[in-house]
Amino acid sequence: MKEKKEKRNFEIKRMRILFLEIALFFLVIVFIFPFFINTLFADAGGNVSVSSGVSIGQSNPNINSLDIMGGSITLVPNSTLLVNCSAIIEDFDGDVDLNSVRAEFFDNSISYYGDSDDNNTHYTNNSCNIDTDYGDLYEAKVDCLFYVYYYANPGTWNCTMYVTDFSSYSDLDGNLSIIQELLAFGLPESIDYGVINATYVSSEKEANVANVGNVKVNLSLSGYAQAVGDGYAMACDYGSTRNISIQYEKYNLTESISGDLTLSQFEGNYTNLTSNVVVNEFNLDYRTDEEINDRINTTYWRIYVPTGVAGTCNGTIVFGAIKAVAT
Amino acid sequence: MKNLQFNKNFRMFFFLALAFFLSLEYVSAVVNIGISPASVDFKDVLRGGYAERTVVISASSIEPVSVGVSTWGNVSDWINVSETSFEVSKDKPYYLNVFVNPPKDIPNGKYTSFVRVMTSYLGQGIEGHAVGVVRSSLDLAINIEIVDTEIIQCSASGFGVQSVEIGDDVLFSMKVFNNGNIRLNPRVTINIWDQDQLSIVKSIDSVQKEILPTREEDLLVRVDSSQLRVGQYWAEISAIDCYSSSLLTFDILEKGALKANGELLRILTRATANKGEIVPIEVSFKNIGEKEVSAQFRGQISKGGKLIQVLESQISDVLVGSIEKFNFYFTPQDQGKYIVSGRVFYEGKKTFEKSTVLDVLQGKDGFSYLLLIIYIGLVILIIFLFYKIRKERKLYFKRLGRIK
Repeated sequence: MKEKKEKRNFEIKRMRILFLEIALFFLVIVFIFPFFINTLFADAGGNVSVSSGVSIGQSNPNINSLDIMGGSITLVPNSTLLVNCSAIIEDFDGDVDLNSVRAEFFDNSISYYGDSDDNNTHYTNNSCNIDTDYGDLYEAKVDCLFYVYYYANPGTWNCTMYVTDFSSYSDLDGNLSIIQELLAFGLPESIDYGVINATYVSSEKEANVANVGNVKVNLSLSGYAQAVGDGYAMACDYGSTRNISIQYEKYNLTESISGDLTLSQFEGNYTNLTSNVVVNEFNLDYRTDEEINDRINTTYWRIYVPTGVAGTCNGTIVFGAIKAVAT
Repeated sequence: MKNLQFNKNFRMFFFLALAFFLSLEYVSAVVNIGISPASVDFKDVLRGGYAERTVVISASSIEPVSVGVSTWGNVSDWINVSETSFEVSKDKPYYLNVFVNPPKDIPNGKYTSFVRVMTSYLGQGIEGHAVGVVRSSLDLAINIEIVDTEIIQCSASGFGVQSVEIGDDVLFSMKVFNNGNIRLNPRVTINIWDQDQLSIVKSIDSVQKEILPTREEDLLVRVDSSQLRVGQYWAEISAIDCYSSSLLTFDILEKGALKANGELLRILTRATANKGEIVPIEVSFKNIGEKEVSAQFRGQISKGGKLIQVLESQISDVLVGSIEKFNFYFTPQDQGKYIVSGRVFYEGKKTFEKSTVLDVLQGKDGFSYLLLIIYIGLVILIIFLFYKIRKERKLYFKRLGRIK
């Protein structure tokens, strides 16, 4: 009985040794195998070409040839200009994969992509036109249009375009263009002094000058009756002299003087119009208000009618705009 | 009484409405003209020299507006314009050239005069009244800086060449802008290389037509191709004075042959990858020629100037206008910057070489530490098992001896 039990214990011992040996064998294999794998892959990754024919997956759309009106933009006075920020978009998954394109056009010095819209500095187009008929199956032409106001800041502007495709890939790219300075102003058609008796000074008349460009302006003024430099403000139908001398037409660019004035009061408060061009500091800045033109200055005018003239009197006042140099 | 009040109110409303409509008419009748830029600076103009600039005159009106141009100021006699009267409208801005010709005996310094752009009369007189009719003008400041130092400076762009049939002249084109202050006859050199860019087959050194300061001119260089056989060539064209050059390729074709032309659009791969990771590479080639071509990509992956892997695709037939994609896989074994580069070879020609960079990172650091711990554990287990087996064997043989 004891011998049988000992024989069984002996068999168990033998089995335990066998089990331990098998375990050791597997452990050694597991330990060595990764090095074997690494060696195998290192060979494959080394100086061996890999066969082609397997897809890389979805491709990103690519914005190419982004152009903004050839790099220079000339605005239209007192109006808007349609600015086209165009690009060729390449998507190697096919142009039908293109989902949407948006663009922002902004003053590169003070605004940025993601800024809020402002007619002076920033414009947004959230749905640009995608023309998939353009080019081949992988190309599309995109036009992002902006109505840019005449008072957009002059300087370097940036058009940044963002394209997404149906594979949720995207591309963001931008390019620069120059918005040129625009010197322009709006004026009344005429200054009607009405009916004035000889030796009297007319009542004060207003002439509004509006900046309809994007630079600060000064004002040059000159006048003539019938020909430039003739020395007269107006030519009249009747009378012995029939002409009003240029110095009798005067202006005040800063303040209004109400009421009737004598000739001496008139001469003390107003500046003579001249035959030659005189540049006046006016410093009329360009518009910043989106609702109304906040850059309109009023000028004030009167004329003295001397003796020797009667009937209808007509003359010409030349208003000139000159870019005000920053001081 | 009520009726009278109503009539009074109605009359007041009528006059207000009339005044409003009249003012609307007045506003809409006014035409605005503008000039861009608002001033022109001519810098470093040589005494007795020349400079020009283009300005744009625009109008807010759809209807054409008559505009007159004159000059005024101290040095107005130096300034000329391309046209003194013309029409301008919203859709048709006018491009006016302004020329400056300072005299030879003028002292150095800064001078200003004006170009005046003036509309016709805005309004008209009224019978029995004294009326000042307004004319609107824009005074464009022309600021001129006179110097006595000659400046030679230019920029060249838009280099181009067209493939030609055998025997025809090869035409090279370019734009040169003279931004110096003296007249320039740009020197252009062209070196034509064989297809493998191993030897120069023809060299041209020419002096081109005169370009005035501040002007841009299109230049055309005609090269006799009688020494060139049918095949692909590379040309390095340089505008020596402008320190500008470009590498171009062109074909000499058989008479009446269709042109084979292709473009390697891009080599696409991931910007970054981890060490040991399998990275796909995609090469896109477009047939932009006139006939179907058989194309093959040949390139390489290198790191620090050392070749890591050769990439060579199978030959594919590419239809006119279509894009062929060549795909590869690469498994980087070390971290660092890998450069994937190559060309597409087609119909005995090759494209410009393109390349892309793959940045390989160490990656999976946490996993490596875990693996190390597992390995150490396994080693300990192996040692333990050795010890255990030895012990068990000892016991086993001891018992076996006892039984025997």
